Amino acid sequence: MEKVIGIDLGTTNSCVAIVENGAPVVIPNRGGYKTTPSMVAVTEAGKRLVGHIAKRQAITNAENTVYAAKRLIGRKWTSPQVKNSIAMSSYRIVEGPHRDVRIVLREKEFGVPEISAMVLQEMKVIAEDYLGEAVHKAVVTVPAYFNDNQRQATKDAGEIAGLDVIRIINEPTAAALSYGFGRNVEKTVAVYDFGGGTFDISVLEIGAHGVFKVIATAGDTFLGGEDIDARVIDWLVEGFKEEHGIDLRQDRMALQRLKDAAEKAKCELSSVRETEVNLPFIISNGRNEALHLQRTLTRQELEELSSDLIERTIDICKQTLEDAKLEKDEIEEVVLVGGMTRMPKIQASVEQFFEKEPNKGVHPDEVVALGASIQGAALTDDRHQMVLLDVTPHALGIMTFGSYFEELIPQNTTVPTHRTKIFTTSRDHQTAVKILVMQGESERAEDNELLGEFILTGLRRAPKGTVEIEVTFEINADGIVSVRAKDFETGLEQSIQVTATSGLTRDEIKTMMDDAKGDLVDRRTSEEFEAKKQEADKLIAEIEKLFPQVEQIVASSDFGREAIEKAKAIVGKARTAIERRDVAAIKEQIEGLTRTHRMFKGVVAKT
Amino acid sequence: MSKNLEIPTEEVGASNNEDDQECPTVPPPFDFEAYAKEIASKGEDESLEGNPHTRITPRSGIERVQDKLATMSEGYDASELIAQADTDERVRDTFATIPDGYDAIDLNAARASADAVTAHEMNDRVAAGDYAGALDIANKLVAMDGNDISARVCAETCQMVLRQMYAARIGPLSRVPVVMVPRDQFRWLSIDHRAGFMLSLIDGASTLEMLLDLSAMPELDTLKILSDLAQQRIISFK
Ligand SMILES: Nc1ncnc2c1ncn2[C@@H]1O[C@H](COP(=O)(O)OP(=O)(O)OP(=O)(O)O)[C@@H](O)[C@H]1O
Ligand SMILES: [Mg+2]
Repeated sequence: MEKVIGIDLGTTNSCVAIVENGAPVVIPNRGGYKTTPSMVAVTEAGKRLVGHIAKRQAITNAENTVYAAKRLIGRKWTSPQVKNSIAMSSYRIVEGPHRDVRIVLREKEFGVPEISAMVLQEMKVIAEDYLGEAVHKAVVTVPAYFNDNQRQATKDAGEIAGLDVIRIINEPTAAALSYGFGRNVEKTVAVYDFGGGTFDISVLEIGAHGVFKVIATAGDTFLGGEDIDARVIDWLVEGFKEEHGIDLRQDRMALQRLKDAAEKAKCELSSVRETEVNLPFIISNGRNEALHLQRTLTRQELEELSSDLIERTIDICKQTLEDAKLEKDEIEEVVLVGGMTRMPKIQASVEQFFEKEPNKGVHPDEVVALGASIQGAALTDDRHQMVLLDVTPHALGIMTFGSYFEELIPQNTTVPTHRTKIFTTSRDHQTAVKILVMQGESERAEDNELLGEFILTGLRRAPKGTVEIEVTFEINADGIVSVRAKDFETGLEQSIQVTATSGLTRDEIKTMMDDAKGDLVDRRTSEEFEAKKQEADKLIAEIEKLFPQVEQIVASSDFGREAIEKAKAIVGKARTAIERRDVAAIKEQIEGLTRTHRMFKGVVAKT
Repeated sequence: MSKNLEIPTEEVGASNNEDDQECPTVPPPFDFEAYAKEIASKGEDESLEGNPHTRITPRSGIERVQDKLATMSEGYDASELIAQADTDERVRDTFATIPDGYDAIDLNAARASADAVTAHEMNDRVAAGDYAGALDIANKLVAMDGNDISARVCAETCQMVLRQMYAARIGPLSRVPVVMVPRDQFRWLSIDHRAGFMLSLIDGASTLEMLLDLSAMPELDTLKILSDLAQQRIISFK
């Protein structure tokens, strides 16, 4: 049976899991970490870095390090979120050819799914290294509020990375699954997810037969653990300024160290009451003396520094329940998700607000991936336990007179499905109607996402309200939405198929896939390079060890001198090949080195 | 690396004597004559044609290369020269001839006071084996006159030479450096904030190659810092 991995493609971190012997497990990366930063960078030398190594140079190489690409994926260039990201990001974000968004790294433009694909590819490789076999299928999670375009873009990212994304599921749903909800229990569960870059609160109604309805979801895509890190950095910078009169923000190296230290201190304070931030040689003063930063941060100070941010998440929870007309006591379970929920103050605040003790796993930043892997296993398991049914993430409808949104298919409808409604003309003698297909929950059309439009013409000239038009929405099992408008009288009809789009064309995806494959080959070659390099290095070392002896022995003969020159040339060429990382050339030189080595050993042995 | 190719210190001394017939069969570690001929092949000066058995120290070699280059016509493509030089494996052996204990880096401080920015000064530095100093001057000369081919070539050559010198000290880039000084004694080290930054990156798991990717400094600076740290025994290698 083919293995399916579950991937939590997060704003700041990603995580991959798989079900092994019936139990879901998180797969650690090469460094032993269970989550991998969703960061991609290109160095000055043009080398691509993904994950931890990209994070470690994120500030010193800020212009060429992409983080939080998730805030941009599947969004239109004109969306307010994109504007916000542009204002906040140090890397370059430009408009793409299809009103989409592109990211520029060292002069090269990348589609957002292409960047996410690099992260997914890394997760795929982590899984493959662990399993010792190729992986082709994945379940990937997305926030509950993602619309069809964002979901499609995430699928495209998978495809570019060489993964068949067999299902996209909601993060809160995955979290609830891994906490064991959904097994024949009907429950209303609140999922409080505080990650590195975003905060989400979702209320799920878990019904029988694997239907997880998202009855409310809200959040702030620009509120996360990084904001708390920033507070700690401010505190350190201000303290240093007071003491030494130097602003550490001016120096990127200092800032990189501050950022790493701030996050580390924050995490440590989840388990200890105080911690020391110690950054020797952080900067040099005017007299060229290196200065050190050393300060103690207590848990209480950290809580004070971040209290308003935590308060904000609670306000959003309150608002969400109000909007959904839910009482606190209707929430039967509260689930904690995201690395930040390890912070004791956050756990306490959530408990205080919901008035019940939240479910907390040991590793809140791993539960989403675990849930995705559970779903992946269920989808390939014949027994088909707990297969989630696809539900529409958002309502679908059309725009009507006065810029109102008329809903046809409500949010959380299980697919496949179809709905029909009758509309009439809004002006006298109107001979054509424009059907604008939209997705969203707002009554005001402009707040929703436009998915497509078409025009039905040839209507009878008549007073307004007399010509009736039947509009039908249909979603098939593959999630493809078709919309049909039919003039009752004439029987004329017009229709479109609305396919979600990530902002990339098929051709673009194809090209990006090929590029991504090329990179993987590069990476694999680099492993081969290391192996061959070691082989060559060993031979060179052994030859060089023999040089003095051989030289002594053969120095008197012309032939011997020539042989030595040749040997030196081979060693030189091998070194050049290694320096150039040219695997083919190294292989070639290894032959020569082997011969030389054999000959040298022979010469030495004879004496 | 290339231990066997190293010319013993006494021999370097010996080569300055006239007594050459002892070791005519040992090829010069870095044949500057050939190198000069190669890169100056478009020139016309015959004087560089030397006796192949004459051992020439790298210092006088580079100096002569510089002299040669100084006479070269403008429009000569320096990038081509560099490409050739880069692949010349003999260059790497230059350092074998730098006597032990002789440290070009140490000269940096002494050099700081000298502000002579002339080709002559640059060549003197090269002759003295102070490649870092020469590079500094060469860079200044290039900044003043982008068409200064001899300064450009000198800069490239010095960079290459320095890179190899540092590389020789820290070894293959696949090595993993570890910090040898306990953290609580860091502050007693006499290093600057850039070396401090470098130290903060050394986690006992990252290879030298990864550190180069992370360093946020030009490669040569990073190599220099790492090689200084290794020489001061602040770091060593797994
Ligand atoms: N022990 C800890 N104590 C406090 N915070 C922690 C701890 N461990 C991790 N974090 C923080 O959790 C955040 C990362 O959380 P997580 O991995 O869940 O992010 P994510 O899912 O990528 O983010 P997002 O939800 O924005 O997509 C970081 O800010 C990290 O510093
Ligand atoms: Mg998350």
